Amino acid sequence: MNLNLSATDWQALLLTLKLAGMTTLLLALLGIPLSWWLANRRGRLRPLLEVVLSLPLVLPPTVLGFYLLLLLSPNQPLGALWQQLFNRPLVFSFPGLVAASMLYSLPFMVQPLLAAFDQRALPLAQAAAGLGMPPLARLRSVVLPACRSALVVALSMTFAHTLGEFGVVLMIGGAIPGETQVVSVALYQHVENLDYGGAHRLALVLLLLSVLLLLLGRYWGGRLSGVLLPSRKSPVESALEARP
Amino acid sequence: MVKNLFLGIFCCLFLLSCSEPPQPKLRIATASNFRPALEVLRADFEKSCHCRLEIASGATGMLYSQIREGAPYDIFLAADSERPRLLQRDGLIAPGSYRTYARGRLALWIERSLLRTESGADLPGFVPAAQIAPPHLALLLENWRSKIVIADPQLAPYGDAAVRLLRRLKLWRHLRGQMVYAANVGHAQIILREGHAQLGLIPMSLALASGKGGDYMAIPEDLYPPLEQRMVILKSSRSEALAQQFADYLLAPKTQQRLGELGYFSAASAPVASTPAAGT
Repeated sequence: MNLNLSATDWQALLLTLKLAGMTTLLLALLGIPLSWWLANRRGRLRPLLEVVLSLPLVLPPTVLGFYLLLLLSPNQPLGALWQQLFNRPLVFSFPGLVAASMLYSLPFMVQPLLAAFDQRALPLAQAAAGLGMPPLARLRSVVLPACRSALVVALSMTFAHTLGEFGVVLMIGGAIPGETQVVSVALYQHVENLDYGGAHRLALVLLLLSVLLLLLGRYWGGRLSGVLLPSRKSPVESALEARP
Repeated sequence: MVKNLFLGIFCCLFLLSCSEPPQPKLRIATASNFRPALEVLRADFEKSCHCRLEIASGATGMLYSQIREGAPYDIFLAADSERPRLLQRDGLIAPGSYRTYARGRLALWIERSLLRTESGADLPGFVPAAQIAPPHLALLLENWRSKIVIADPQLAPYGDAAVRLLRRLKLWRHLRGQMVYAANVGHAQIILREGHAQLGLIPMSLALASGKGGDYMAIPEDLYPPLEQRMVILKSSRSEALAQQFADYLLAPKTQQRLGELGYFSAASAPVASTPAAGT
């Protein structure tokens, strides 16, 4: 099996990596505070918010893309607002793909973090606060160690999920080489053209990338959470567990 | 008590579902451009055949590769003659079923407000829904700076025709970087209708069906290769008689006449001789 990718395929691959990287970075900036805020909420609204945040998991991506086309239409308030702010349409552009990918991969960032905050970080942080530890020290020696593996999982899953994104990109991307033609779309075009050789090559690259990524995520996330090596527990955690 | 109630309801539903004899169904795979026309003709045909049409639509290239892989359709309505011919070559169609059912027309979709003077009159040479003269078309496209929407030329014959039109006008290189490729012509129509782009090249059938008046102009048909739309009945069909009935219905003079109102030339009309496109 040779990996002789054509020039457009290379372009698509680089674009995809750029998209996944940008999406992961921006989602981390958005998702970490969002998850923390949500973990600290104890109200009747919370289950509803969690449901809303997981919606992209259940909506078929093509349908999501279709709704984005309707929602972001310049004839609609939201699309018109965007047009006024940035003076360029959101669809058929790389920034548009990043925005759509963020929406589409949001649950993959939020859910692991939310679980970690809920089950470990928050109870520990509260205990540490009760013992009189100052906020910055709490963050450094309690919250971060408790969430590190969840963060690795969230980042690698978000990246991997965005790599294979298809339906949304097909609907709002426009398959412009170098701008919105990502690997999944190029792959689809190969398949529909019965160019199975080209399709196999791209699919193999995508597969290798994903396996590598998930392995790395497992290795880092796992090592830190004690799957491969015993984890270093924070002193507070050990103290709490030592209590009868 | 509750159990009996459920049992009763279940039996009623069961009997209801059995009371109607199952209608035979015809599975049609149609190129996206013909879907609106098919929806118009649907009731008419279903009445006469006492059957149900199941319609799947998409880019001709996509449907072709699905059929090649054994997708269970009875009849395939393509946007070109090339892919049906390939199916015939591979021995996948019922003998004698390779026929032209319509000739497609390409339309220029452009936001109407752009074709008006400040006073609201139409710009000279740009009359909505009329045919655009080649010099006007070339002038308009040459000075167009934003996106142009067409269906993926590799998968959709109408997208391919659009590219050949631009090559013919010697504008392909100039405009290549402004192209946006939709998955199929239906997708292209949605993009234009929602205002994400102001100009596109789509089938006349969709321009007419989009429900907005005067956002399109006809492109002279000697500027692009003829879109001879052919159909085939698939060898694997289990309702070949029904498929045959549908094919005859489609070619009947009355239906052909209706296709004229839906954005097509009739299958019988002789194609305008098209000079070979200048390659760029």
